[in-house]
Amino acid sequence: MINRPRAWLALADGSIYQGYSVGASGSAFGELVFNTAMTGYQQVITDPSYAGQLITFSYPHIGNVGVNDADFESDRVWAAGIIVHSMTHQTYHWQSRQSLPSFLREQGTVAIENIDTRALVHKLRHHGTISAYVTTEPISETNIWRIFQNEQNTEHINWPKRATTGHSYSLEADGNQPGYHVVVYDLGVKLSLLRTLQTLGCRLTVVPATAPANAVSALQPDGVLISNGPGDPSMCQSTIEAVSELISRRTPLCGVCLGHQVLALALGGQTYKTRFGHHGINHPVYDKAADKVCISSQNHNYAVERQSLPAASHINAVSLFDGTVQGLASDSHPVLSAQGHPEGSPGPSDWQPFFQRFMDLIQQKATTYASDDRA
Amino acid sequence: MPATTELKSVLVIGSGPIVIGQACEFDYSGTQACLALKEAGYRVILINANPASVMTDSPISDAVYLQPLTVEWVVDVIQREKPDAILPTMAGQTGLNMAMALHHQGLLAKYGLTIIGAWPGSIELADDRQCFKRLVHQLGLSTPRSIAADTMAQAEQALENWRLPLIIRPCYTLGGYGGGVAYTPKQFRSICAKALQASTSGKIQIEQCMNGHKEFELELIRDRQDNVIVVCSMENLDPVGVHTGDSVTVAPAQTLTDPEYQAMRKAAIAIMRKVEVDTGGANIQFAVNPENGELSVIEMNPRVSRSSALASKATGYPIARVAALLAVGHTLDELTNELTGSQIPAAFEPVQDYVTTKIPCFNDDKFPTVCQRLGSSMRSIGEIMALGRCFQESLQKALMALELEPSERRYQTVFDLTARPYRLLTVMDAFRQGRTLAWIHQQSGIDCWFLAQIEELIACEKRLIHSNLQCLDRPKLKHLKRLGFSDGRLAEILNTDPSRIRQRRRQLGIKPGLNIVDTCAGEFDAATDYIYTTYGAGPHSPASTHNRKLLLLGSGPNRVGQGIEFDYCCVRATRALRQLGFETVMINCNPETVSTDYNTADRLYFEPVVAERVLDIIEHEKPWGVIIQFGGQTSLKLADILQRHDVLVLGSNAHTVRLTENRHEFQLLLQRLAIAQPANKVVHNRTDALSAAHTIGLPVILRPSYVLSGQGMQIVHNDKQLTETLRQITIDSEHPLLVERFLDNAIELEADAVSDGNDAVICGLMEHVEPAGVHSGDSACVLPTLTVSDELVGLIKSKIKTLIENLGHVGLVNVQLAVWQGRIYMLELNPRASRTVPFVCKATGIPWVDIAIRCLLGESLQAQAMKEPTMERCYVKEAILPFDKLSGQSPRLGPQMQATGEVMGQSDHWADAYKKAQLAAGFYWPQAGSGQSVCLCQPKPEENWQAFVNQLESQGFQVYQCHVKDKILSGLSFLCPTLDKQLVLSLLDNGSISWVIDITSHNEDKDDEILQQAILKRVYYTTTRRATRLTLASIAYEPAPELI
Repeated sequence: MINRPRAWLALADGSIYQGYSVGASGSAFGELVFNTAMTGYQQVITDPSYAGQLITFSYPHIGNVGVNDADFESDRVWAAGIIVHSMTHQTYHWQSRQSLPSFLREQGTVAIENIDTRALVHKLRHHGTISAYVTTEPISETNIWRIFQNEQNTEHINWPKRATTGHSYSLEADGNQPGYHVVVYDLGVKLSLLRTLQTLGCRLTVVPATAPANAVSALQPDGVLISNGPGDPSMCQSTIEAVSELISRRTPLCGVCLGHQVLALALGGQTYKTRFGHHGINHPVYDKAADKVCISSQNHNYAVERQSLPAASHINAVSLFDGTVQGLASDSHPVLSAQGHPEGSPGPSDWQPFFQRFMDLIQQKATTYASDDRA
Repeated sequence: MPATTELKSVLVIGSGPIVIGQACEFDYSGTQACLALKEAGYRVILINANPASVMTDSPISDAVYLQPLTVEWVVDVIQREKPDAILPTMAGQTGLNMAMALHHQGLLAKYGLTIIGAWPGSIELADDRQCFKRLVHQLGLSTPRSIAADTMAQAEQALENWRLPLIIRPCYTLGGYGGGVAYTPKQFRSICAKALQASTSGKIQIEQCMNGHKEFELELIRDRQDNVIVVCSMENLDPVGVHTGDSVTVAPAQTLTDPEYQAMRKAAIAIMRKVEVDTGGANIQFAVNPENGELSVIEMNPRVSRSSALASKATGYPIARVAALLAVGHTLDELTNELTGSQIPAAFEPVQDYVTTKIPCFNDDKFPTVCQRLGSSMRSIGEIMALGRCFQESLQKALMALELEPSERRYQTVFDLTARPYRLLTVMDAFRQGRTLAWIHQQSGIDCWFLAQIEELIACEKRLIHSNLQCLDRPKLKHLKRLGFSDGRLAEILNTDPSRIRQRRRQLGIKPGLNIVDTCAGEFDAATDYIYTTYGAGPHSPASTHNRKLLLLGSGPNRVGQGIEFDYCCVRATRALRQLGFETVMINCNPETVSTDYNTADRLYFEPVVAERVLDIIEHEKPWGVIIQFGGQTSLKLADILQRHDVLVLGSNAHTVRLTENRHEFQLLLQRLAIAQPANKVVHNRTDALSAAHTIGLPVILRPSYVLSGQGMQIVHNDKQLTETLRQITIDSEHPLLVERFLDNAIELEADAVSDGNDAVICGLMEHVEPAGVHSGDSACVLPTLTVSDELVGLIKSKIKTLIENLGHVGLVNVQLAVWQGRIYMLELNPRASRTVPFVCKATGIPWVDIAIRCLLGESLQAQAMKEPTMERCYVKEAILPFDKLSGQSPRLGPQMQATGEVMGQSDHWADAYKKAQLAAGFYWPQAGSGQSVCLCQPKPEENWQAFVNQLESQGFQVYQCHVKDKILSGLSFLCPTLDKQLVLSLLDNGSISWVIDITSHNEDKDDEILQQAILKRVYYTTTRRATRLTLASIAYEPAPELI
């Protein structure tokens, strides 16, 4: 124990924590966020929405079931690094292919254990999101300032641009069901979001974040989904423009997480950065359509400004934690969105009916707006 | 949405006495429910005959009926109070069964009563195993394969087709009793035969044991808007096959992937909706195949349960409180989460940033003849829970909370890793002896993740063996403490004293941090001080700065001899102190109790009640003083160490504790005060023991020193027994033995008193129904005394007062004495609250705990104008014995306590009160003139039964005698007709016998079969002459029309 490789965590406020390295050697900067989920670390670290972030897991045991083939949300780790209280090194779960530390080393991801993660959560809650640095190179209070000075602010990085696909590709529906053709704007899409649509019988064309509206329309989609992804929605200018265009063409649109924020911006609303975001799988959302509370999976640092929305659009879901906007719909256009992750993964599937509503929206559009299209 | 406005008053069903399988978790749930409803403005009416419970305390509800939980009495309460609704879901299976009985008899409709929290349909669905299975299958989920059988032949088919082990469950019985897990064909046949008999419907279910499958439980809540949340996931360390109550349980689940967990969550929610759990909590158990993740549904409880109490304590989420409010029509989104200062609604799923481990407590030392192997019927008596930042810390803290003295802990070298009580200790020993993880996993079926964690702990121990105290530098010691090693365990490994480890720790500045249980892993600010200490964190939570702060120590896990009564005292004391403007800090580790509810004390430390933790907390909190007299022996035994650390202990100080526990010092005091004691002698070897016994004269009672609830105590009547018993026990200078004259057939009395240091007031003087020699906790008792003359009572009281006033003790004190051949003998004195305090409080209607608290704070009894109360009515406390739950245990009473709980009966006349107590205990009362039979087992000529038999016959009973050895002793044949044993058993079966008398004493050949059958059928029985005589007197009494 005492002879294990050390690692350090430094925060932009000058505090330094010492622990042990349980990932790759090296260093990583990132925005420090905390996640309260007690299961699903593999999904979390491979979710592109976490690009550039250092994730503190509040649950103390991470790595219990290792890493398996089924629980990837992308083909790599997107988190800049992870901070845990206690890492499991040896795994026994039937699906496990390798231990989490060995996977992290393979992926070149830094990770540190033996950290009082509750203290970090406390700090984040009171100071808001903060930049941090995890390294396996010894650091001291004297060189820490230099390190933070030299590093550019991760907030100004266009993360969706880094996380989106380089080229378009198609995915077939599950079990050859005759279903809709949905174009997915990939801002850093989770595999489970794609799988959910495939399960509903959708044939998918996944396009890069920069795909212009005309190119998307040319694919003759029945609907368009704007995916989840990392970072600030206001950086997705080209997507926002394309979505505005698609809105005016009355294409059925569905936004999830970052996609929801992009949709709001395209509708003329505004977004803002929250203090420390929502990262967990226990968040209650009041879903007006179902008149029920859904326990939802959440992962976002930005939110939609309630007051900024145009009159025709309405809020159809709210967070019961802080009253923030969790979903939008519009009287004038076939649009629908969710701030949380109705697809779960990790997390509950309480909000799955959301996707059925998207299917219904496409269906309605096919009948209601048929005349518009011809015109 | 507001709550249902039509409801104004609610009748809450209490769960009655503490029995194995239904312990004080329902006192906790019921108390929460009553308080929540009362706060919400409802009139709360409660029926519960358990005097030791907190819920029956006057401030908890608006009207309390300490009456038997029978349909007749519930109806009586309904007629008096005319409630609008009945809430049956807070009292375990007992509550649901009562609701179903009322429903089936049409009484709910008759009195226009709404059932809230559940509806009869869902209760039936969840309880009928076949229906439930069908419904689960309709949801596309699987269950273990099973068949129903009503004959042995059908059962045999299962044996032919399926591989053992198989689980046998009788239908419609509580807690799986009467069933079991069969590992061999022989066991299978015997369990099936018993289960067929135990089942009220004559049906049993034979189920494939998902052997080696992992077991999980989810706690859910649903409201009337169909919002469903999962409050907690729990993983049982012991794989399927061990009752969840007997299993080591960890929350949250540790070994599931997110998809596996979500599949389970989704299935549970689907079941909640399908069963239509109306509102409130439920618990669903699952098995998961560790080879492929296959999920099967085991069972469901549509109510709050032991698991929900555990889940509430593990997460901080008050399930019973929320469930009660949902029952009256609130919804989850409109209720708030108090732990976060109501910033967020109750509609969310709690998350933990710590691990909790629950370990069940067994009292197998008391029940040596009961089969060791754990199975489908619950055996544990209580439980403890510990919180740690990691599993290892929580596990080792939990082991600490078990209060297993190092001397009691024998390290094993032969490893039986089948499911047994405290198997975890065997697992640890196996690692210590170098067994591999793979082997232990194969033998025990415990998931490797947990075993790997334990292996790491043992590896640390092994490295430490070659070390010494000086080598423990800061990082090393800190690391060990983070893993949960107690000072005591480290001292044991390093062969030093725990105080040296403590010293070293302080030198190196290693202190535990304080974390708050907040339901949200720190995402929101916590508003309540529900605290646990951990070495996996810095000191997060600051101590309060209140200058009138007092620390109370709780009583730890329920066990025979120390149960809910002490929790009642602790809770009451806390309330009294808060009312007096004190800030209260509570330390306790029993998840079933009210004292560990987050809003009982101002600050709750959910911690083992052991010296190390208590001293650490005192150092952090710096209370003005500590109160140890309400937590039973668990807290009292810390008197000495607290004094050595200069802690102000109010009331019971180390001196009085020593004085009363040290036989010699106590003897000197009694001699000085001219109070008689049975002749006795303390000896340190066998030879002295023998000669002492002969000098004193047989029969003698042998008591090992410092014992709780008579553990190891034996009464010997002859030389053969004497030499045999002496051979079995350790006697040396470390383990002295007290040899005491046994006062055969003496009347035993017990008093609780309160003292201000100068003056004492007797709260209640009780007479035991059973004679001396039967442990006071196992005997029924009557308040006021029954057969002792007024003159003698006066003398007894004055002796008690003299003794107490010469003790220098302040607060509550319990005294036990005997009247033998007209003389008074002092037996025992405990300078603390006792088992009978809640009973006396409820019988006298005087809050004695509050008065004791004022005394502790320096207010004299005179200033409080306290005088001995005069008793206008009669109160009987009856002990609840676990013989129906522990098959194989002889139902005879002796000096070792065996009772798990108690009930009370009250009336204008003692006879009626006694009858009510028996009804509350769940027995059918032998009714005079009913044409029922009484069976007299093994009567002896010298016992002179004839007059007794005549009396019984004149009361309209048919009396039979039965001689187990089929040998009628001469001079008995005229007594009454004789039946053979088989016939008696059949008559018990068909309900013709309503009273079994068997006073065969322990020095004769005895046969327990008839008694055991009587107990199984809830037929009234007596095993001592005194109890038999009092019963007859009670039956003969003609009650006046009942006035409550």
